[in-house]
Amino acid sequence: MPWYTITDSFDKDFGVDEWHGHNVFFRDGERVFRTYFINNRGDEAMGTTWSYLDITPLGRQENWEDSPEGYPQTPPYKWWNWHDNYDSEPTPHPKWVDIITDPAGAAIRRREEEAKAS
Amino acid sequence: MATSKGRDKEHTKGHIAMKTPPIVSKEEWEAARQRLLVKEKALTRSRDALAAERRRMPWMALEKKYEFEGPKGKVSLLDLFEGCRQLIVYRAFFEPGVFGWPEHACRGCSLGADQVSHLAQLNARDTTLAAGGHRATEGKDGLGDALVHHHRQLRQGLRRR
Repeated sequence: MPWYTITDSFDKDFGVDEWHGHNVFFRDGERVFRTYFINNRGDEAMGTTWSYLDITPLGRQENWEDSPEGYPQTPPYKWWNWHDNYDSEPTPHPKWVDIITDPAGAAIRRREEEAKAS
Repeated sequence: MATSKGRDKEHTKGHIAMKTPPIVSKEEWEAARQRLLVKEKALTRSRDALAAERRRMPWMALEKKYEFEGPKGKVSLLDLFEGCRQLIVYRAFFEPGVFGWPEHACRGCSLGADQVSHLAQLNARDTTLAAGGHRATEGKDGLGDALVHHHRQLRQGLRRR
């Protein structure tokens, strides 16, 4: 987590001059909007990928979520990746998608491939 | 770190004083779990609904241009996004007057830093996270080093998963 030193009234303007808290911002080009703020006991729940995404305006961006029209959404599981693999493999691996979409079928196909290879 | 002997003593002490729940059969335990699960599922759905409502919160446009000092010098709030559309800024305390200064950041903030998930996962959803705090230098010797130490602590917190 990168650390930045506040040099102006950022802390006072966003309610964090005397106590910890999370502020959420959305950027549209060069324009920035404050979309959410949580502090006190709300802060202790923060830390997981899901807890952070749940406080963002776009959410987890998964297609089961009730989000306003036009918001980016993709199926759960499929975009999930190893943390050091997003750059080298930005699109979901076809085999991983196959396993998630059709677990039983994927298992049969894997056994067939293994039989062929042996 | 507490010794195992010390822990045993603590455990025994706690055991006598604690009014623990009844011990039941496998079936009774499973039935109790199912009863609780109904409430837990209701909470999950309710939390999802609250998050959906949160996504419909109005937005407030920022008028000021905020400036920060980062590892590479002066940066704007826009820079903190690191190209993402969404940014979460956690206000942490690591400054004079806070317990542990200057060797450590606030204990609560440090505990929080220890539980932060890998940022690559957030980045994959066009989101990033930054910590912001007050100037740690103010012309005193060695405090710049303390800030570097704090950076390390935060990073170590991220690695210990």
